[in-house]
Amino acid sequence: MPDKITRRSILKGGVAGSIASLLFRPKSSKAHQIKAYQNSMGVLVDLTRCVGCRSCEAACNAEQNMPEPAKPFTDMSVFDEGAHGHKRRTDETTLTVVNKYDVPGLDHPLFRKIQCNHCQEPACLTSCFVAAYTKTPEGAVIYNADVCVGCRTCMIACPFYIPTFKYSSAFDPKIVKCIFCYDTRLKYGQPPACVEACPQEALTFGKRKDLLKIGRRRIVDNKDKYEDHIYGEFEAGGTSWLYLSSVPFEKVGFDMTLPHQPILDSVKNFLGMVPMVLTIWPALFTGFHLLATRKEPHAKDENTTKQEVGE
Amino acid sequence: MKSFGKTAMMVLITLWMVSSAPPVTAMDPEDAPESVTLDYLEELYESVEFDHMTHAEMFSCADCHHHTTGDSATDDSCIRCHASPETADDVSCSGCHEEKQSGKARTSDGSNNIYHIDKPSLKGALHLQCMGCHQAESGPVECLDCHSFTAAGEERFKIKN
Ligand code: SF4
Ligand code: SF4
Ligand code: SF4
Repeated sequence: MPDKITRRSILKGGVAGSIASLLFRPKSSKAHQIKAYQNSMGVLVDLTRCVGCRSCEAACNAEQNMPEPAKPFTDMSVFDEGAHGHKRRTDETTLTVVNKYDVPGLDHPLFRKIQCNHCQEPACLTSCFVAAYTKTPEGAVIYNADVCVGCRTCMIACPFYIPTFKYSSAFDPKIVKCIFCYDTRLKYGQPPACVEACPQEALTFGKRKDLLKIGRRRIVDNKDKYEDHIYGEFEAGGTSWLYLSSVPFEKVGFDMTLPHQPILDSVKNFLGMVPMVLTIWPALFTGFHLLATRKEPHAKDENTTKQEVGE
Repeated sequence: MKSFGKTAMMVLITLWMVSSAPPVTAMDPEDAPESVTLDYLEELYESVEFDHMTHAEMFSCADCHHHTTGDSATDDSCIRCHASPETADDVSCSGCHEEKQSGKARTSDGSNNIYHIDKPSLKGALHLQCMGCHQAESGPVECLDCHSFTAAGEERFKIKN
């Protein structure tokens, strides 16, 4: 599995992106006007409701015909599996996983389900040079595995570390990720399997714009219960899956350093650099190495700078 | 717009009729059902007999039933419409909470005068009520404390026998 730090740093290749954006300004940068589908659907995930029952994982496994898991979905020992504080990730056998977070000062753990967030302007899609990905008007980001050449660019581009690969054949790796149950449900206006399975209605399915209203209403109506923030409203240019939390989002594993403009900006610029890469490769490589070994606070600064440059 | 005006008129008349009717007192817990069979999850779980009486003896109706059982609403937002504590015709959870999430939140018609925009489905409503209280009162909280799997449920959760 690729090292987490390296992948992040490549993303933060924001820096490389900013260099590129200074050198090669895209002719017309429309990236900031998010022209997402107006009536696209989404899911509001309320972390205050999730009890970590894993019903969503079980439902996804059945709906998407995924392989039999090593342990039954009633086995909660999986929450403690990640070594060195690492949390479980989506992989070729599971399109969604629930992780447990012990938050200091809270007398109970919090749980967070992860899956593809179905970005408004998906970096996976933009970065894919064979156009294997599609954003549907319903909001799903789906892909055509037959077109995929297994280059893994999307894996690096995704700010949420979602796409993974099926290595059933060494010569023919295929991308695997949550598709919002597009084929079987979303297309027909039905909620995805994981949403339907959730006993706590921690997952609410609806139009993205309605979910934002509902989310805001929950924040206002339940004084002091929620953080005053809906994660995904703006992050990475906005995502179809949105999150509410009772604790600061970074305490439950959310990346709060993501820029609000689509990751597409940096990816585009990054890809625009490819020809240049050939000539200045050694210098660039050193740059990436420096980035990879940077400390977090520094990286944050970089990010701010990038946002400013990007404006 | 015209038909909206008519509807509004009807609603007003109904409200007036309702509010001028003689006051109804809160339901007695003794009148409530002994037990309620929850069987709408039968696909994956056996039906659950909810011991309504035990709960009714331990708690007040309003702890679970919003404003419907004749107790006054306490929530600021609810009071705006549900200030008078009449018993509703249907006090059962399934009377208002639909069995499945429809995905059609009632926020899109441009009107600001709609409420209940965030009403959970029956499954969500029951679990949120039960779990909220069971967590606070140290009641049973594990799935299998209340539910037992059907064969389909065991298959879904990949229980190996
Ligand atoms: S979360 Fe990642 S995989 Fe999903 S749409 Fe966004 S960029 Fe693509
Ligand atoms: S939306 Fe469908 S594919 Fe995605 S995690 Fe939920 S059940 Fe799985
Ligand atoms: S089914 Fe719902 S409550 Fe259970 S783990 Fe998934 S999101 Fe949380």
